Amino acid sequence: MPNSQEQRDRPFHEQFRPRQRVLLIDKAAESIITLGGLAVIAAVLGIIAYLLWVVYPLTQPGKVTPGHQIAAATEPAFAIVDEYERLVSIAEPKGQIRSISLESGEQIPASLEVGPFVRASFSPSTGLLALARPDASVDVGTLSFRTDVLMRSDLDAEQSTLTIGQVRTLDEGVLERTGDDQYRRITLTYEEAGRIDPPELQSPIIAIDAEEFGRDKVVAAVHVDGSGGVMIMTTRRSLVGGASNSQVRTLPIELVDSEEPPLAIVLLDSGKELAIISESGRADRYSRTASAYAFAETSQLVGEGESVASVEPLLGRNSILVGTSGGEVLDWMLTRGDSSGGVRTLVKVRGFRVGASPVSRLATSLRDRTFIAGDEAGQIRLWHATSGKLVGSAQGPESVRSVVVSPKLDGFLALSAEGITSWKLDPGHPTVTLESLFLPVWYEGDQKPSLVYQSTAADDSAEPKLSLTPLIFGTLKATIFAMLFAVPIAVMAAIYSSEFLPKRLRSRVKPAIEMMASLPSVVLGFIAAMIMAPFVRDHLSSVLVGLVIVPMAILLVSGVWPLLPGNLAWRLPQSVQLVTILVACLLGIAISASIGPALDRGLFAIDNREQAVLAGHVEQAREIPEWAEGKASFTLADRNTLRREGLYVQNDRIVIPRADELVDQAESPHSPLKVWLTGMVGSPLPGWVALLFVPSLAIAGIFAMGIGRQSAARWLPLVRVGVSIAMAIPIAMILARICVALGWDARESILGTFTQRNTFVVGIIMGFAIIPIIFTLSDDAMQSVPNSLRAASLGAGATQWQTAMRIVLPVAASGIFSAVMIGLGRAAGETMIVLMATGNTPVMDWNIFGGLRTLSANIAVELPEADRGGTHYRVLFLCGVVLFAITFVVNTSAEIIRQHFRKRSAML
Amino acid sequence: MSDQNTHTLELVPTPLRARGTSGTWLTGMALIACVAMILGLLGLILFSGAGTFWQKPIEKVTLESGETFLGMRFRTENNPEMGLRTLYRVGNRDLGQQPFRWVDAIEIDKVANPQEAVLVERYEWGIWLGVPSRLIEYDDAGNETVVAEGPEAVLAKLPEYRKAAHERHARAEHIRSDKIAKLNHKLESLRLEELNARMRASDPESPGHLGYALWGVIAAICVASIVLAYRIQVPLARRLLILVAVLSAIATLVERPWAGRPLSSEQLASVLARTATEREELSDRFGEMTARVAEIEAEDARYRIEITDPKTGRFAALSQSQPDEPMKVSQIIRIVEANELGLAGKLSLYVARWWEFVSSVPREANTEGGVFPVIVGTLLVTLLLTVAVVPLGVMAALYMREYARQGIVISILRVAINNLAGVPSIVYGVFGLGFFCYGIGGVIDGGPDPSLVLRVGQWWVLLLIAAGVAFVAMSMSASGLRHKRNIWVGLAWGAVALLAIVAVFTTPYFEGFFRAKLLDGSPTFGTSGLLWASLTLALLTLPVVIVSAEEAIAAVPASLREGSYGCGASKWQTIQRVVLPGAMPGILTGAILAMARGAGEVAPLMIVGAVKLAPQLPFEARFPFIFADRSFMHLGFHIYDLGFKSPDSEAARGYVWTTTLLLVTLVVLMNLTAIRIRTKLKARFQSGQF
Repeated sequence: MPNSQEQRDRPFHEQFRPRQRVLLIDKAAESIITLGGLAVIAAVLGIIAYLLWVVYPLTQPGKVTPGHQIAAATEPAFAIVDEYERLVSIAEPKGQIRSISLESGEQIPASLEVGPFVRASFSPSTGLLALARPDASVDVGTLSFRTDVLMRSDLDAEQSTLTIGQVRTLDEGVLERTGDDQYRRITLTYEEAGRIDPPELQSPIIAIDAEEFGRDKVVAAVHVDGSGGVMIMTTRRSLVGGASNSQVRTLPIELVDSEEPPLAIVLLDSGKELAIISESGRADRYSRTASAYAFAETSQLVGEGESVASVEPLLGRNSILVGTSGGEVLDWMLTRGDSSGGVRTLVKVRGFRVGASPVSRLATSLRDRTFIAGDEAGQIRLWHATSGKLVGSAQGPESVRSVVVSPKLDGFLALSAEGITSWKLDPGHPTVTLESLFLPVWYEGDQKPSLVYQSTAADDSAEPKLSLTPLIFGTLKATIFAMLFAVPIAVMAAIYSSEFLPKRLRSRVKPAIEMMASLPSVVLGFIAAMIMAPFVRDHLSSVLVGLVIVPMAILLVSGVWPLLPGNLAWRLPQSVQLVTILVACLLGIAISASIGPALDRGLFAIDNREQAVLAGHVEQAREIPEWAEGKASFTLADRNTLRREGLYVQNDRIVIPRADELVDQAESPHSPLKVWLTGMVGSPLPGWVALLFVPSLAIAGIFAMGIGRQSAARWLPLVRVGVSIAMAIPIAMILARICVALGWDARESILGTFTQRNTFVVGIIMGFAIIPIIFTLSDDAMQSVPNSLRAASLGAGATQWQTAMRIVLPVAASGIFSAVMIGLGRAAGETMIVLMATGNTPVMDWNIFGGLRTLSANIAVELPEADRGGTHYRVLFLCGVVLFAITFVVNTSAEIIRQHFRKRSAML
Repeated sequence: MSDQNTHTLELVPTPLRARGTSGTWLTGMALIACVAMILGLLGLILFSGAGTFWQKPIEKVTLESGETFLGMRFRTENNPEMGLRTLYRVGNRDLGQQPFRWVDAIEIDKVANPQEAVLVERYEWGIWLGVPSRLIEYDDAGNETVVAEGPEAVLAKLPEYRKAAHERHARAEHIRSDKIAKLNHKLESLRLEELNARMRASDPESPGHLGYALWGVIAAICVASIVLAYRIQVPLARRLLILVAVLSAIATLVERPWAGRPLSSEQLASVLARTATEREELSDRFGEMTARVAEIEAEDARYRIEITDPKTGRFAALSQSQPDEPMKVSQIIRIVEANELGLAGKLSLYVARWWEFVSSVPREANTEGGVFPVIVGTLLVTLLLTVAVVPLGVMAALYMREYARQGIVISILRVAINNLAGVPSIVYGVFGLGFFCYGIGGVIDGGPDPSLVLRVGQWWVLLLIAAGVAFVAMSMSASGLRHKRNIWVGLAWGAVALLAIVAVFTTPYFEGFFRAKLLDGSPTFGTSGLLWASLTLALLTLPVVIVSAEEAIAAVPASLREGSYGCGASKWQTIQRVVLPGAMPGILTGAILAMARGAGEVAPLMIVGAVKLAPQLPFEARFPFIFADRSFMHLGFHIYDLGFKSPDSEAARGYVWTTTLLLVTLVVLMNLTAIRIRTKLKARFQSGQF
């Protein structure tokens, strides 16, 4: 120190006091590291919190906030509101359509005159208005809101003084300033399309429904005299000049006798069907034939003692919503029922309870399958019909005459005798509920509730189907098959490497396998899709046979090995044994490559009759078993039963092959196995034989172990292997026969139609991806078993194998298990391999030759295209949460087991 | 049994089951299978990747039907359903044919290797196989002179013409990439400046600003409290003063009275006038540059070559729309007399092709050219991720090992972090997209989401609460009871951090840095890009780094630390001079492993930033050099894209293999480095421990 004299004069502890700067830096370092460390840990843990925050709104119902309250005397036949919710237009039977500004409650001076009518039908989705006149004629037209975007220069000085967002009532509509220089004018317009006045139907109309399907305007009506008809007005726009001409044809409805007058008539399924509903709940359905609507069926829509209060078709016109006098809304769907054998019927899908008063007001949304129901006590509820989610609820005035949902589903109105009440609505995510994400949902047009993932709909009327179950299933399926391949290989390899491999070799092998753990999975995915998949496609039978033959070849060689002369078998170095194994493997591969195709043709041979069926040389069967008559589709079990009688199914028709026109089987390049897998032809027997061969081999092996228990003869291993293989074949045959006799078919379980990008390939490559990690961790676990235990075991006279099996393996078991769990976690989250090597089809079957879609691949495929903040986006985040949860549970249990294992091995 | 035991004590033969021969053999098979699969995979990648650029002879194939064509044997397969067949690469896409063609072995009549056939690699439309027939030169008037005719003459004359063409190409490229790109950039910034000015002019007068006088007072308070905090030694007062300083500093920053004023119409007019003149000037220079490029192109167009396809007799055309005009010499990248080449020639060609592959930009939907931008993208992502992950990871590890009280909380944290290392990478991708791109990026671009923004008063209340909690946390961590209240201190600081984040996302004072571009419909940071991709990967690899750094720190013997303390070093000095140097190899291993994982990870990149074709490199020779908002290309994503999304999958196949080879080499090299460091580290500590 420089000024040492001064320093030395101070007391001892003062001399060695650290400098201020050192203390300051120490303090700063402590705060920075503490803060930084905590922040990093918090950030890492914050991931799941953030994901949950994004997912949370999915579980929430929509938000309803009260809007305007306008006093206006209304007596509406129907009412509509424009998409910006500025104007509400009310049609009254006297023939006036009045518009009211929702902002100010002012009435628009100019009202539309459409002439008096007795019944009206208005379709909000197409704007088609059909007015039944007192004289039984029908006027058809289009009622819609027109929106003009105007500039400041288009307006006069007084009009342009609005501030942004302000609304002003004009003579014919409303004007709103939307931006700096932009104005929007909304007016109601009516365009008459024509008059339908069929001479044959002359009594007044009591029920009418109209809708536009493509070029056809379809009007269905029932008259007082009990007659009914459907008028179809087809408009063809000529290509030149743009002039259009309309043609009207009338199809009578062949009404069945009914004591009651109809309450409503509803067109369904693009006008191909219609239903006439009476107040007591009786619904008669009619189907269109060439010349008329013929009676199809009668259903009772409401329960005993209840009656129908209101009827409304749901968007897409496949379902009828029925409001009952008991306060419920029932969703009746037109579908090919499962129980009806493929015939269309009306099926009750769901019920929604509003309250106890009759549900007299119903209206549907134009955007999705949300509907609004109002009962006589003024309760208003909005539901999504498919998911059953309550979108919103409100208490309206008691005497509600009409309810309306805004076109953008951002608000709804109730019209009563006193006035108009409006609410603002944030619908949230109506298509998603916890049940719809995980349990079967009955989608429109389906036969029964199902688990479907289909995020992008083919057209607008189809709805997104967002069930996560197929994705979770796909993840599990891929993981299970990968584990089936990886775990035995990795653990066995680890046993060999830890217990039998010379140290010098081990120090080379282990890093090599470890390095594979960080090989980019995109490379493996590419190899799976581009090399493995075509290879498996071309050599399926050889690959499958190889999985059995190669281990069998090794077993055989292990039987031959002790027969080496003298003590050679025990004295040769380990590396010679390894080389022998390699040679045996190669031999096994060569054998399977050569016998694979032969075995394929032998086992799964397609006989002449099947050949004829495949080639289409068939004729209609004349004698059909009783049970099969009238069946629309045939299951695999049906096919097998029919096959025993010499009958086959082609395009859901029962046929007999014309075996005289034969195709030479040997010429066919197709692998019979692949044809068999499709389930078109072939008996279930060979599949069972092939599938049960390995279990049979195990059974036979256990039996063969008993041969010469205490003998040490050299030839014994060979005898045992030989006996097991010889016995396995008859055992497999017997077991297969039992399965067939029980009516089972393997093609309904883990076998099925072969596709190129399949689970088998994914299982192998993903197995390959997780082998290194399982291997390394298991090897570490076995290495950490103290050598004293091994020495004690060997010293007590146990062989190396006995030591490995009875000492090392049990001690290391929890470590190995934890390794397997970590591998499982890896496999479940793996993205690129499944993305590239499967077809990404979200199907739910165990077919090993079929495709799948995992959660991770689903995210990778769809997230880049999902709209930020939308339902789909949040559902994809939920996929992430589920994946996180799965791996978190798996990893945590692995970690806990590992900790336990550590403690135990520390005690040893 | 008992009978045996009493009589033969000397040699009981080991039962076969105990020997477990078949068991050993099966486990051996599993190991062999593992090793064989790994070696097979690496061999396949090496063989296919290395073989792609090797020149194969051009064959003239005559079919049974009498048809002949030129092609290069691509691969042969014996498919049980299709039989023995060969895939030929026939190129000549201009003729409307598929560039690859399967030919069944039984169809082929004879195969010859014509000496005069050449392979032409072109800048557009892929390769062309043909026989050179004429070299033509046009004069200014458009009259053609045939310079050489016949294959030998053409090939003899061609090199000098190509050299000239090459020079011209380099000149034009220099003008295009350097001068014109710069002009474009200036024009773009002018446009943004105008947009900004217009936007500010139409802003309503923002209320709530304090004005110069009050702002000055706050700034003075800030400075005063910093000075006082430095002087005053009373801990409580000091802490309070620090908080006041921080709060008033925030107030000073957000209340800048000169900011946020709308432009007056005169100011706007003057800005617009200035930009207009600048734009005029720039477009003049732009015109000049394009004229120079056009001049070079006109010169190029004078030298033409006819290379005839023997099958149709047509020559490689100038363009698709001018099929009767022979191609320019300058359109040729390389002309290869494939059947004349010796081994040396083939080798140099091979090297040249690899060089082109790693040094040039992709062409023809990534199936030709090189992967230079891809390599740059991969390296930059890896670099940024390392820069982000190593300090953070080490900091967290130091906290957990050196500062935190070892107890149940830290054990749980440790398990959780270990666990996070096993969370699928795609989940991090989802988080990155939502939080980084849309969340933080959105705030940087256009300010916080309007629905979240608080009113000015509310926001300041929030800030005051945060300050209060920070004060409590500071007092707690400074008091001697710190170690016993570890959890509470952590919780308090966590609450401060949370409040600070909330304050950032709800501030009424911030409207974003890139509002003009956002209005233009092109978010800057509010979309996927290099920065967010790196941060996502950093988060993904953070657990790996924390775990390995912690292990390395724990492995530094306690005796060394105690020695250091004994010599009077402070805690930080000990960490800085003893612990960190000792742990450095382990930390490095972790960092390299993180880099290797980051370089090979693709799934999150698909979501947060890697693209098929990035228009610009994320690296440029002007400030700030690394453009972290840009999208980028990545080797892993390139493999996925080439292998699965390429329109011409056969042409892409070779490139997939070479790209794979590059990526695998990169990853394997990083891993080998890590393994070497680890072995060295182990050796060092084993010798030093006892």
